[in-house]
Amino acid sequence: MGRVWPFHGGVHPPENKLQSNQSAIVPMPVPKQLVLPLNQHIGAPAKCLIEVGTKVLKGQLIASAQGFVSANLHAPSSGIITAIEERTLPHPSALMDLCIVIDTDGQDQWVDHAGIDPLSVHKGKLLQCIRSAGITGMGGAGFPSAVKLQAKSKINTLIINAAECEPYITADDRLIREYSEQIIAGIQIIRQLLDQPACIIGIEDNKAEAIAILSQALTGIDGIAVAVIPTKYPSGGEKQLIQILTGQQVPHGGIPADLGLVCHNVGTAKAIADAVLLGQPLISRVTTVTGKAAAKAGNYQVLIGTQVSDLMAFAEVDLAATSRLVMGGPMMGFTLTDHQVSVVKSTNCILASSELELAPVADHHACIRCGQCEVVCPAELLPQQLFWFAKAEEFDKAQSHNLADCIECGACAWVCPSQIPLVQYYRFAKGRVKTLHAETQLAEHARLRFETREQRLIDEKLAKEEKRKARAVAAAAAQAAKRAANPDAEDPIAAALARVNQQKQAAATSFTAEPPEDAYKALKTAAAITRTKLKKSSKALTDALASGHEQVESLQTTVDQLTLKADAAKAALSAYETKLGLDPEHEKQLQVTAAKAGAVVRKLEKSLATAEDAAAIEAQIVIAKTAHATANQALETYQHKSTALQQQTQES
Amino acid sequence: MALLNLSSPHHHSLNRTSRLMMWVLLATVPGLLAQSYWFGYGTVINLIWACALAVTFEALVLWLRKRPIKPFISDGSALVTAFLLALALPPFSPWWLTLVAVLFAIVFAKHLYGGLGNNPFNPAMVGYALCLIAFPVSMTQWAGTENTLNLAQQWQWFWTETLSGGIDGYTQATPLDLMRHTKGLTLGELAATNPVLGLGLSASAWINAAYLVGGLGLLALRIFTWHAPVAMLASLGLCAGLFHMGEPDLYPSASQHLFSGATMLAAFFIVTDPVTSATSRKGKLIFGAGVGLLVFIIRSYGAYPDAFAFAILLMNLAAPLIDTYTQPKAYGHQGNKDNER
Amino acid sequence: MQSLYFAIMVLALLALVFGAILGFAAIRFKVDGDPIVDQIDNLLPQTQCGQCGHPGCRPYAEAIANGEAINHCPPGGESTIKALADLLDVEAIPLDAEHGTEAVRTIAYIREDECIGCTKCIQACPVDAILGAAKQMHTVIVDECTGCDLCVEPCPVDCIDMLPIEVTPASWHWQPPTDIIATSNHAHHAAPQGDVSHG
Repeated sequence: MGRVWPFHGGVHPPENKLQSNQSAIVPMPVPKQLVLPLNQHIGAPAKCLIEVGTKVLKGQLIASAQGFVSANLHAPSSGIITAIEERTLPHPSALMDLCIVIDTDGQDQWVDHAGIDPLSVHKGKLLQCIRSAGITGMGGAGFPSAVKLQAKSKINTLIINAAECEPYITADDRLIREYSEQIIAGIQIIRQLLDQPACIIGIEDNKAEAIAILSQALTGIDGIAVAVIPTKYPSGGEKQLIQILTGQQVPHGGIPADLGLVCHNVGTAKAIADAVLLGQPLISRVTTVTGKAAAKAGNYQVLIGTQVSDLMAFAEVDLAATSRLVMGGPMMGFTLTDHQVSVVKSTNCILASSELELAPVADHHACIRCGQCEVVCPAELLPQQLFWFAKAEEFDKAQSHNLADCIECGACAWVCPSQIPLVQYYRFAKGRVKTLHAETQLAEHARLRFETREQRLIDEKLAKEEKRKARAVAAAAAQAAKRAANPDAEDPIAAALARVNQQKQAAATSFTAEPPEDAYKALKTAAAITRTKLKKSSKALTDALASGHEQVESLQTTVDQLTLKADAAKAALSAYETKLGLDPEHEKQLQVTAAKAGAVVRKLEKSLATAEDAAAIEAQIVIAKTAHATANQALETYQHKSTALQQQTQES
Repeated sequence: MALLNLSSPHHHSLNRTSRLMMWVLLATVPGLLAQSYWFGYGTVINLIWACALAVTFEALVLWLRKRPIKPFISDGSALVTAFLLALALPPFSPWWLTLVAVLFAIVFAKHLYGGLGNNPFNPAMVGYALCLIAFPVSMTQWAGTENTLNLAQQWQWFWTETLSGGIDGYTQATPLDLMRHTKGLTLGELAATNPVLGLGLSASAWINAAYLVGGLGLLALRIFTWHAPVAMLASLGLCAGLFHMGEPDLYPSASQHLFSGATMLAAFFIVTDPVTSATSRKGKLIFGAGVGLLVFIIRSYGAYPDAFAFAILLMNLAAPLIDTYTQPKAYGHQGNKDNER
Repeated sequence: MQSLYFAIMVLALLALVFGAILGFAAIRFKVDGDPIVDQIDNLLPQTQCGQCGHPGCRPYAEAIANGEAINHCPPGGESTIKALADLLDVEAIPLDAEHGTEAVRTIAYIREDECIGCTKCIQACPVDAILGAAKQMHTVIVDECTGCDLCVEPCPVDCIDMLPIEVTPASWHWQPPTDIIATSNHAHHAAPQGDVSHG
């Protein structure tokens, strides 16, 4: 028996373990359907390996681990894959995620499998065996076990968590009583992998029978000690158990391995033994079904993927009497609002409580800072302060009061005389802190990308400028070279000036000297301007006529002149257009045709939705669509032609 | 049945605010009995009157604030305030004095700050301090110990503030008052010349002992932790002891300090008010020690008969600061100096 | 009279001494650049959406430093306004609805079979989060998209949708209890989320 240290805080909720630990573990028959979520563990979801319709055997790999922190998934029984679809997860959010659905065939036919002798193989093989069996922590968190067995630093002590401090749950208790040999075999395999560290099994003193059986089984085995610890919630929390058994605290932000420790659950040890010695992957587990609404409260050997509704039916749970259905224990479990969810690798308990058993809190009162939460907090935080900060959404203060060290054990909320749902506040604050942190990182990333882009745009502009300059220099050099070759030529500047003058003169005499497109534009503008002027003058004239103004005559002259000018401009424009081969009227006509055809198509399509003889109308649509296409094509051809013409004139 | 969807924990202890408050009320009973034995029916009449007023004001303000009345009344916090005020006020308080004190405590010191849990100052002490400043004469009329009023006389005095035959024979200065206001004499001479002092001191000691018993009961029930009261009594005792050793003629001894005035009432029922004191264990030690020190200073050098109201209000002011600097080290932060604050 | 001169002299001397100290400090402890703009910029959400009327977050940060109102940033919303008010020690004011309203964060998705490959959205994207080439289908790099909306308008075939970010079991978190105050009504604090399906 090892020495035990105390830890700060803790509470003594009623244990309620007798309801379920009096009878042996009952294997539950294979249910009709199994639903296996792809992500039952901490880390990346497993990658599905099979397709709908595949026939699978019991123990066959159906989804493989993706990355280092992930776990394989095996078919818990033989049958046919009938769906790979989104189903409600056993998760407090009750969100959906991808699940593999197996309709079992009742044969329960094993795939070929065989165990290995752990003593005759090397560590890599052993680790591979455990990894491929898809074993995750069976205590509740579901961390892939193989990752913890690949310690980078030297492990001095292996801690086996058999505390099971949550009220109601007795799965580990029964497991120890019935499978102590396998558990010890599993522990020996873990010790072999970690270079034979000392092992302490931490178990609460309320499991006298399990302690006796374990001690009995351990007689004559060196290096494994049983430490009986006082019953106090949450002694089974990893950090608390480490403090109880070693007197050390896992540093903030660190992991037990930093202290040369590693912690595994008894259930995990049994699963490792099964995987190595029998070659059986993790496809079933022991789950406690308890609560006042369960007529046959007890422990059940359940296949992973079994629907909670099937398990409840087998344990004769009175659904009508169930007020609160909890997956996990009453202190840290989460409520299920839908019993059509799966038992997963980490499901240690289904608690079907009657209304009186876990009565909903009637009233939340105000916090009077009584400090009882602080007294019971195993993480030695100031829960009352964290509550104020979370409520006021002062997350930076909450962080500086070590919100992150909260293990959400619920001792504070359990003891709170004002019955404030403290844990929910902490979970909310933690979630927001996480989101805000992610948002800050995203913003920083976006800022960098924005700045990089701006820089790139500037660089591109500069590079263009640079190129232009280089071209100018090259041209000048070429010019110089040319002049050097031909010294008789006149002075280039004078020549350029002369050219400019010439151009000016040409422009004055005839618009044809201008680039054709510009000329076209100029003409258009001129026509528009004269039209506007004419309009204005006409209006002024009408006004003047109406009011009997003296300047009517002069205005009349202006209008006449302008009318002439406008006509001239229009004539010039159309002449030019004819020359270019453009005909605005024709283009307009084509556009109208195309639009009409489009309208016909839409109308027909609309009527199709309501019409009975769909086939006829569909045929009509086809015809109309063809007409539309033809019209569009004509328009396009015309536009192409005009552009081409313009370009030609430009080039000439 | 529709399944509930709630955050864990799903189970809850039977601990309730109203239960805490009820124990606090019960724990004052020994003190109340002792006080009534020595000073007559005044305290009891006051207590009933204060309770009625406190509940009425509480309900009224809750109604004005559009808050549910029943759950807040049933938490018992208004009654605790009323008890503390009634026990702290002199037995000769007339009806209006209690009314002013309770009104100020419940309406101003408690609800104007947001109600239970949000008030920075102890409501009872705010009410007491206001009366002490505004009505010093009424507040220092302590009943005599050798002959007390009967119920009818006390009742008459309570409502009319007149007494056939005059009040003078029934009131007297408290021992603390005597010890301060007769500085011309040494304490030894004072005790020799004034037999009333001896009797007063013994009455005071009995009452304090009764409160001590009640307080220890609360401690045993873990209604509060030992830190604040022990720190307060230790610091007061230490200061008094040191000064008494230096000049025994001028300074009363530690035991006289600890067992006179409202020392034990304050130590176990007022300093331990969770809302207005510091929250961490270290913080409570500092808070209590600060109260003790201030009490000694004000008693020895101040102008008021007892010092608790001011000492506690001053430390209430300091509580947020104390909290800031006494955050305990969380699990896993032992080796980390950055997180000391 | 003499004392008057003396007083004036002393005051003048003091003014000189303090002036010298201040002048020295101004040079010795001069802070390079204009860190206030950086600090403001760090608080802005960096969506670069231009809803504030500036071509990006940094220009708006500069404008704020020059006295523009702090409530022109809809993506940042109330929290950004609060943070800016804290930084600049001014009063937090409600979001100016003229520049838009606070909405849930969205991500752009291109309906890829409708995309004609015009590259207009690529040019509009302030953070280069759209991948594609002329006449080739485009797609949004979801992790880089800030949800600024700027690509939606230029798209000639309207094939870009702004969709809210999906909640996954990994990103989901608890909401706070709705009410701390005791009431006789049980229902309101029974629901950690707005929509609770009762099984």
